[in-house]
Amino acid sequence: MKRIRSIVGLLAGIFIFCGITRGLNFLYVLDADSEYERFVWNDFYASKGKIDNLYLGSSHVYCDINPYILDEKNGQYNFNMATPGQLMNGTYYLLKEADRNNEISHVYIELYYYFNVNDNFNLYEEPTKTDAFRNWNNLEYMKLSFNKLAYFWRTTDIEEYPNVFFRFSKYRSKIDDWNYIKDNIIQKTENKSDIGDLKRGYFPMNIVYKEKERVFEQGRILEMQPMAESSEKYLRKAISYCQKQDIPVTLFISPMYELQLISTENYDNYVAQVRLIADEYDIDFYDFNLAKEEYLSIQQTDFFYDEGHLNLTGADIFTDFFYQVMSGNTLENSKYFYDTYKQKLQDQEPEVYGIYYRKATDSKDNKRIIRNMWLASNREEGMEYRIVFTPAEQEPYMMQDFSENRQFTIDADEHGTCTITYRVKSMPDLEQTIEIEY
Amino acid sequence: MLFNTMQYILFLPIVVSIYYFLPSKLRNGWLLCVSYYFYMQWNPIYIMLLFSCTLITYTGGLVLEKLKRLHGESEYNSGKRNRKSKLCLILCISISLGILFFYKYLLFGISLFNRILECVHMEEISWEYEILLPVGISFYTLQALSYLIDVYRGDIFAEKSFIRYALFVSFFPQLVAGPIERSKNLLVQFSIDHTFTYKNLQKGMLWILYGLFIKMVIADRAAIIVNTVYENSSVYSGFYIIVATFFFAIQIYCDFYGYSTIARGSALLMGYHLMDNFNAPYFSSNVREFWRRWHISLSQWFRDYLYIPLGGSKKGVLRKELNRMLVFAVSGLWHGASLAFVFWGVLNGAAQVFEDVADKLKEKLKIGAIRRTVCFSKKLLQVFGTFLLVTFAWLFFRSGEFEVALDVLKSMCHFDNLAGILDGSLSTKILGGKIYMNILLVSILALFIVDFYKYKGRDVAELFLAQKWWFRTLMIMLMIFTILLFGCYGEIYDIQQFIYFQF
Repeated sequence: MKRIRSIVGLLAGIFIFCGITRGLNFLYVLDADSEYERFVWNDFYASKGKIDNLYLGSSHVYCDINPYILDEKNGQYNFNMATPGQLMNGTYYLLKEADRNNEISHVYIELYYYFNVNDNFNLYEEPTKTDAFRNWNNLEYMKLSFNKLAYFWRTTDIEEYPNVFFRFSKYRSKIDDWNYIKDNIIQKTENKSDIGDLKRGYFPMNIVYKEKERVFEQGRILEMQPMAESSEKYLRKAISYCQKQDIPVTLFISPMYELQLISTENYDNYVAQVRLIADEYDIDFYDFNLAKEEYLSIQQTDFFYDEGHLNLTGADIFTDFFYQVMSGNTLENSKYFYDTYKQKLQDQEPEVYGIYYRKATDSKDNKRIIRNMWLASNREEGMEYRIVFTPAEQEPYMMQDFSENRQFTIDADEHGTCTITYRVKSMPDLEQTIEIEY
Repeated sequence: MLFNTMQYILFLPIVVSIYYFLPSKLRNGWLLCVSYYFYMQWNPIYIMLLFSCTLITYTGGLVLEKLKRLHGESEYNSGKRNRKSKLCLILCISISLGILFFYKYLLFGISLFNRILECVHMEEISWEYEILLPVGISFYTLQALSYLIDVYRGDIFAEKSFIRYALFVSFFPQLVAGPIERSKNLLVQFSIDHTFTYKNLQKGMLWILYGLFIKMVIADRAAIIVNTVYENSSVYSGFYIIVATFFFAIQIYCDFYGYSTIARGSALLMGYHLMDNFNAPYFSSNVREFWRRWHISLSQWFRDYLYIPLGGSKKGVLRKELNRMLVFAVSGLWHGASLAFVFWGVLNGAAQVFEDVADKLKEKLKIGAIRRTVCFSKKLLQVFGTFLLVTFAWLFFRSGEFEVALDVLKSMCHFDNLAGILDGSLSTKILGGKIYMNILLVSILALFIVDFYKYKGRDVAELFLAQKWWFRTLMIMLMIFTILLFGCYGEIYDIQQFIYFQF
C-alpha cells in the first residue's frame, strides 16, 4: 500500500511539474521567436514523400527562392528547408531529416557568409554555441528520431540543456514584464501570426528597401575571418552525405545588397574558400553576388526589402535566373558570372553606396562608445570625398574636404544627416552627392 | 566541474547508477576513477599533485604503522614514540606542506621578502613565473595530514588498501572544498557495503536541491551586488558598501554552505555520510560560538592538530589566548596568501580573546550570575552584535588585499547616498529589477527559517520528509522553479565558481 502511495505521489509530482512547466512556457515563450520554424516543419511533414528538390540555408533562401516558380519550370516538387540563421550543423541534420522522409533528387545548399565565418567581435566566436537557439527551434518541431537526438547532442552545449527542456527559462528576464505576458497571452489565444500562412518554406516580402537606408552595421571582416572550422566540418559532412546517397548537390550564395557585400572588406576571401571546397568534391558552386548585371540586374534597392533579403519582385526575378543557371551546364554558366567581386566592382561606375560602421570603445576613454565608419566606395583609390555631418538640432561640421580617406569616427549616440560629395580624382568637375541618415 | 553546472547534474546520476550496479569489490575502484576524472576537469596535470600527496601520506602511514609494531604498540600508544616515527612524520608533513607552500604561498612569500629587502635598500628577487593554484589543494592536504597524524598518534591503524586510502583523499563530493573529513568517519565507510535505500535517495536529492537553491538563488544573486560594489568602490561608496558587505556575509555563507550541502547530498546518494560543515552560524551569540558553527571541519582540524598540540587551554590564560590568536592567524593564511586574510583571521581571534576577557571580568564582578537567565531581547542583541562583528571581518576577506580593504573602508565612510539605497536603485541598477531583490530577500528569510530549526537541534531533512506529501511537493516545486526562474545560470549570467575553490 505504501509503495502504491509512493508511486502515485511520484506520478502526481511529475504531473504537477509538467503542468507548471507548460504553464510557464505558455506565459513566457514567445511563439514569434520560432514561428517560422513552426510553419516550415508543419509543411515539411505534410509534404512527406513529395519533395524532389531541397533548398537548405538561412533566410536568404526562404526570402529569395520561390519554389512555386521552380515547380512550374522543372515540373518537380521544390521545398525551401530554410530556417532563420541556419547554421551549417543545422543544415546537415535537416538534410538528413529530409532524406529520411523523401526521395530527394537534388540538394542546394546556400552559404551566406554571416553565419559561416569566425568572428573577432565576440558575438559569434563559436557559431555553433551562440546561435544554438536557432537549432533548438528546429528541435522543438522535429519529430523524435535518432537523427533528432544526434542533432540535439551535437548542437547543444550541455550547459544549455535547461533552455531546451524548460523553454521559459530563456525568457526569464521578462519575469515581471506584465505587458509582455499580456501580449503573449493575447497572441496565443487569438492564434495570431505575424508571417501569414507560409507554404513550402517561402516567405514573400512585399516591401521595398528604402533608398535612404544606406547605413549598415558590419561585424565581420572577411579578410581576417575565414570560414569557421565547425561550418566547414558540417559543410563537408553534408556534401559527403549527399554523395554517399547519390544525391547531386550544388552550393550557392544568394544575392545581397551591395553595401553589405562591400562592408565585408574582402568578400573574395570567403568565396575563394567555398570554391576550394566545391572543387575538392567536384560539385558546382554559384555565387549570385558575382552575377553580371546584364544577366541579373537586381542589385538595386527596388528588389530588396532590407540590405540582405530580396523582396517579392526580386525573388521572382532571381528564381528565374536561378533556374536558368541550375538547368544549364557549368561551362555555359561561366559567362554569367565574374570570377571575383573585385572584378565586378571595377566593372561598375565609380560610386559610393553608403556608410558601414562598427561600434567600439574609444581607446583613450573606455567609457566612450564610438562608431568607426567607412565609406562604402567601389574604388579603393583614385577617388576623393568631402564629408559633412549635420547632427540633429546642431550646426553642421565638415569631417574632411575632398580627401582620399574613407575612414572616420563619430560618437555612437550622434545621429543626423551625412552629406557625401565624391569625385574621381582625374575628373574633379564631375561631382556627385548623396545624403545619408545616420 | 562545478556542482552548479549541467555537467555535474548529468555526471552524478551516471556515477551513482553505475556504483550500485557494480559488485561491492569494484565500487571503490569506480569511485576512485570518477573522482580523479572529476578533479582532472580543472587541470589534468594537477592530478599528479593529488596522487603525490596520496602516495606520500599512504606510504608514511604504513611506515609509521610498521615502526609502531617494532617499537611495541602499548609503549607507542603511551606516548613514547621513537625518533624514527617523529622523523617520518615530520618528513611526510614537510613534503606535503612544501607542495602546498610552493603552489599557494611562494609568490606571497617572495612579495613579503621583497618588502623587507626594499626596506633595507637591497635588490629585490625577481620572479616572472605564474603559479596556478591547484583546486582544493588546501583541503586534501589537510585531510591527508590528519590521517597521518592520527596514525602517528595511534588513534587509527594505517590503511593497507591503497585504493581505499586514495579514495579517502580524493572522494569527489568533498575533494575540492571539503568538508575536511577524518579517517575515523570517512575512511571506515569505504570498507562497508552500501545498499541502495529510498531514504538516502530522498534525503540526498533534497540536500542537493537545497544546496543548489541557496547557491544559485541566494549566493550568486547576492554576488552581483557584492561584485559590482566592491569592484567600483569609488563609485558605490558609503551605504552601498555597508549593504554589499552584509550581502557578502550572506553570499559566502550560502556559497560555502551550498557547496557542502550538495557534497553531503551527493555522498548520501551512494550511502556515505559526510559531516555537516555548518550549523546555523549566524544564530551564534558570540564569535567563539560562531566558529563552532562555521566551517566546522576546519575549526575542528585546527583545534585537534594545532591548538591542542600548542598546549590548548592547559598552559595558562595568556598561553591559551596566544594559541588562539596563532591558530586564527594560520587559519586566515590557510584561506588565502595575503595579509588581508591573515588580518581577517587575527580579527576573529582577537574578538574571541576579547570575549574571553570580558567573560572573566564578568565572573569577577559577578555580573554573569545575575544575567544568566536567557531573555529574547538579550539573545537578539548578542546575535546581531556577533553578526556585525563577523560581517566587519568579512570586509577584509572579500577585499582580498589589505590595501584594497583599507580603500574600501575609506569609501565606506562617505555617507552621502542613503537616498540611493532607499529609493530602490540598488535593485534596479545593479540587480536589474525589484523582483530580484524581493526574491533574494524572501529566499534569505527562508534560509534563516531553516537555519533556526537547525539551531534548535532539529534534523531539518527529517522534519521535511515527515510532512504531508502535498507540502513536500509544493516546497520542492517551489525550489525547482525558483532556481529555474531566478537562479543565476545560462547565457545571462556567468556561472559563479564556489568561493572556497580558490582556497
